[in-house]
Amino acid sequence: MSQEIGKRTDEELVDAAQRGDEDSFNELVRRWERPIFALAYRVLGREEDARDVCQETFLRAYRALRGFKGQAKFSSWLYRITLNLCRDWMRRARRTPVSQVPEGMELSDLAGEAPDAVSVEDLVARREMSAAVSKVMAMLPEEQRTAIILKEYHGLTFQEIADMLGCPLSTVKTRLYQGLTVLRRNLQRQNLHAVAAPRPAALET
Amino acid sequence: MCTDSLRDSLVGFLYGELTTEDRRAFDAHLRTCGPCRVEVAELRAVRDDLLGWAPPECRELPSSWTAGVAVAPAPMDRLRAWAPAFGLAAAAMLVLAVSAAIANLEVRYDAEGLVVRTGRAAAPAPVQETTALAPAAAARQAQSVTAQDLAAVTAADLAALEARLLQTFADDAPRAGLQPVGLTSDNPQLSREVRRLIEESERRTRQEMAARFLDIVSDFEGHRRADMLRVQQVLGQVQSRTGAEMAQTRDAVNRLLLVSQNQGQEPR
Repeated sequence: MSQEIGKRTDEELVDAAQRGDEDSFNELVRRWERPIFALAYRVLGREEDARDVCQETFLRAYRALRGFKGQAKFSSWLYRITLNLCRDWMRRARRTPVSQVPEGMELSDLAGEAPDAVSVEDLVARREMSAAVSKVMAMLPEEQRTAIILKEYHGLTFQEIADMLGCPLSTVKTRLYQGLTVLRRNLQRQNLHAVAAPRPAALET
Repeated sequence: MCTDSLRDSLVGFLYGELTTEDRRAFDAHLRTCGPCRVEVAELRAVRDDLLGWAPPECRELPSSWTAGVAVAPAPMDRLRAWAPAFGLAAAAMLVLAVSAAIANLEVRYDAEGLVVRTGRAAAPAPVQETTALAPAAAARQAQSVTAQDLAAVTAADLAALEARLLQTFADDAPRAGLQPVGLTSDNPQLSREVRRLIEESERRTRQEMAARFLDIVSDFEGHRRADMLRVQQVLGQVQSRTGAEMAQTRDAVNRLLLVSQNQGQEPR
């Protein structure tokens, strides 16, 4: 227990939070809010919606925490809540995801997070790339898009995706394959070439 | 692309989720199958492209809203959270009012601004004030005048009582040979008198306090209403201004659309 809070595992934090320790839950929020926001943003395509879903996810998690028995990873549990909320959201709003150039993202912001010595051309290209990917992703059927998002941006295994979406392993692979194939075609149409972005660790958080 | 099982292997290969054995087998297949090699290369390129999609930097994530509790309030809740500030202010006002009444102070916030007076020193002032005020307020003013008068009477009473007590002691001392320290119930008339005066004074104080209390509460209520009204007016103005701006923007966009359509038709 004397261990520093940032170094504890999710399981330890969940355990403490279930016994009423607010700090532990806050640490879980800090740890997972970015991935959850990113997931909701990529599924829904709009920043405000993603923000609301992200907030609602943690609200629900907080309320339902006692019911979480550790049958899955805490993150998988959170992802599942988020995906359910996203589905409700799209159904209720009868809205397909909108492709959107990341709003509030100025070139200066990009410069701030880019590795040094990147030209303005690169920044512009990267921004165009982001917009193009968001556009072609929005064109995918929902289940393919979700599978690709979970795989590419959250590094889940095939099995984890299958468990989360409640479908067989082979279906996950098929969806990924079909999704990637459609993306390839549409990206080629966009005629864009990736800026040689350094590939970070599989997970982006 | 070949069979379903090969496709599964390809996806597994692409994401590095093949067993060593399967991987070796697929490597062997790739060496002999040109289309699969191309496919793997192209899908890898797609994966690289996907990395270019960055979510915006969101500054309003849940942890930024929470001080101690993990549950973040929705925007409306945050607005509502401010309402109790009124309650707090009201409570503070009441405490102030009560202590002021006890200290026999008069604190008033009205047309003249903030007025602080000690009850006794300013006893004549409210009378002039009354004449200057509207008849509707006159009733309450009259009430507070009587309260002032009561305070003055109390002071006079106390002086009278003091004089009478001194008189009594002066009378009794030589007669009974007792020091004034021995003021006890053996003088029933005196103690009854003292008790009566004290009770009377207490009753007046209570009445006075109640009257001032009511004054301050109704004053505060009036100010609160006026403030709310002003807030609502300002909000209304802001809303109508925003509406007007939106209408302007819509008009501008419509005009732009018209112009661009016209331009699009001209070349034909």
